[in-house]
Parts: sequence; C-alpha cells; structure tokens
Amino acid sequence: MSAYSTTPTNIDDGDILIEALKTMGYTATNCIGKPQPLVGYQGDYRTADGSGHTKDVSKAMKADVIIPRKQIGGASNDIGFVRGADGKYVAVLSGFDRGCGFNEQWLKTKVNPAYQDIRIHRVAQKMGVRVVTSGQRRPDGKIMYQFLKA
Amino acid sequence: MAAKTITVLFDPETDKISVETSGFQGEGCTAMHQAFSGSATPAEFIKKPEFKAVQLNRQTVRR
Repeated sequence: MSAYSTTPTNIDDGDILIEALKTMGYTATNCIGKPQPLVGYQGDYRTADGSGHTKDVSKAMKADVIIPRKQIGGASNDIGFVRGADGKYVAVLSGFDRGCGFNEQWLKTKVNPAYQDIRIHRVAQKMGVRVVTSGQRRPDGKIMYQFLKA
Repeated sequence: MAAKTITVLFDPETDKISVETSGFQGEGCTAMHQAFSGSATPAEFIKKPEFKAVQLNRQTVRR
C-alpha cells in the first residue's frame, strides 16, 4: 500500500498555486474551502491519517487543491494541497508518487519557483513597478527579479 | 533624482526571499520589502542609511 504523507509549504494563495500548477501542465481541481476526497490508484479513498483505504467519504483524506491522478501517471494517486489553520498549504503526496519524483524536491524545484514567479509578478503589478529582469537563474541557484519604480 | 530599483532574490533551496531596494527613502522601501517577501521567510531586511536619515529628519520636525 502507498500511504499518503504530508509536507508543509510556504504557499498561502491557492489561486496562485492552481495557476502555477497550470504552467507546469497540470489542471488542478479548485475546491478551496470545500475540500474534496483524494482518490487513490484503485479508485478508492484514503483515511484521514493517510494509512488505510476506505469507501466512506466522511472518513477520507481531503484536500483544497487536487491534481487528479490521471495527470500524474497510470498507477498514481491524487496529489493534494490542504489549507492549514495558519493559511499555508500542506502537500499530500503518496509514497508511490514520492518515489516517482513527486516529492520534496519536486515541491522545492518545480512548484515553489512556479508559484513565486506568479506571486512576485502580481505584487509588481500591484505596486506599480516595471519589470527589468524576470526570473533570471543565477549561478548560485537563486532566481532574480529586478523592478524599477517610476 | 536617483532611480528606485527593487531586486528580489528567491532561493528555491531554502525557500527564502531577499529584497533589496535602492533609491527609496523612508517607509517606501518597507512597503516594498513586505509586499515582495510575502509569506516566504525573508532572508534579509536591511534598513539603508537613506531610511535612517529620513527617520532622523522626522524626529527633528516633531521637536
């Protein structure tokens, strides 16, 4: 069995998260505020602690943003993001999918940069600054943005 | 008048953001720092001499 486990993130805007996932090729389901159950590779649900299977929706592990398993791979489980009490999202990933590359490293190197790119550009627009450099990767691995304020 | 620039550095490895402003005076740069840092852990928040100069002037006026 491929148990679900959680990984905290600094992501606090579900709409931007969905947009970021879209730039990565995933059409995530938006159920922010009305969490829906995560579906496993056998089409069943997982218990809220992530360890067992259940067909009872009320006992199922739920998420606010869901990447359907069909978009991940044939034997994959849904990937979920649950909004925590502090407003930050926690990623819910199965053991199988973690082994297939959908793990902390995926969150760190793919999801987070895509999320921050959209967030930073939205802030720039809100603050009325002009983009000079956008998402330039430096030799030290950091991603640089430069803006000019009139 | 000096150009007002904002440099944002995002480190995917540590999930930290550092914001550096140039040409801003007073509270202007604070707003930029707070907006661009978002919920990520700010790596740096340094008040430049320009900020301190404006704060000093404000105190002088109040007296």
